[in-house]
Amino acid sequence: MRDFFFYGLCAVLLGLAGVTVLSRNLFRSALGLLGVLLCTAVLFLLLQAEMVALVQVMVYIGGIMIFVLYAVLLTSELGGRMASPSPLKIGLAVVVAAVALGMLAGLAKKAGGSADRVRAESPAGSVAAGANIASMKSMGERLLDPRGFLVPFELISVLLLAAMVGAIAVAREAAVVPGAGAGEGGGGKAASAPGQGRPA
Amino acid sequence: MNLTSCLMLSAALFAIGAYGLVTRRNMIAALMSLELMVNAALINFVAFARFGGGHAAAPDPEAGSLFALFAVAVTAAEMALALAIVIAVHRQRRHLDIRDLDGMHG
Repeated sequence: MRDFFFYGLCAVLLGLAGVTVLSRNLFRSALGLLGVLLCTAVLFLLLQAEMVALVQVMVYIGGIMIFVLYAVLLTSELGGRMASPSPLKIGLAVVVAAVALGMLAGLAKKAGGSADRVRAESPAGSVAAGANIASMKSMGERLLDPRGFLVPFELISVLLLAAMVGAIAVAREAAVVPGAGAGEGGGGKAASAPGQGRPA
Repeated sequence: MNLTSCLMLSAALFAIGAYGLVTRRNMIAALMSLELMVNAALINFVAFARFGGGHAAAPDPEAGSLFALFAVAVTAAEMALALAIVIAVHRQRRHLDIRDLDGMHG
């Protein structure tokens, strides 16, 4: 039953990933990505990583995806269709994807096979039955333990703050290149015809 | 459901993301493909945390999950900056075609 659910989930996840990559409508592919992230959260629940599943829903779906949808709506019209890639590009992409898949699948077989053998050979209950599950309490204690992950935890908050400030600085209206002739409001009408790389 | 099937799933997801990253010309679409690949990496982290590596002498599930959490945080920072750049580029050029962004080409 569990396996059946797992493989069904895998099929849905990969199908939605295909929609994300192949759809010519940007909004639709953003919705596909949303579905992929949701399926991944369910997969994390199946793998008994509740904390990661929650963070996945809150940060990815609640934060990043909303941001992506805003960017899509700001920069492209809803019904717009992207040009389909050239056959040469598709061939190149298929080669890249096939090489990546081949290498990763080979590695997965090697690493996964040995690990699964170890698990199968170990006495039942020692590893399988719940010694291997991170409870939220133990994770929180580990996260705030000075000998655990306290330093990276604080560092990552500094990183997030720096990224936030940087994002605001980059996206601010006044941050247009000086001399490009783009004042407030009219930025981009006359001053930034496509192909005009830099200000004279 | 074992480690191999999880790793296979993430390999397939990564390959799909790589395909998208090469074919897409729109900047946001390329970013979304990148997100798929990051997601594949996250699945790997969690799967290894759950099932253990080859020598499961001392499994450490908390560390594996926390590693995934840190990866999520780093991705959030990356996406915030990337989308800010997307908006800045769109404001300046009115389009997001990756092939035309060669201002630093020299």
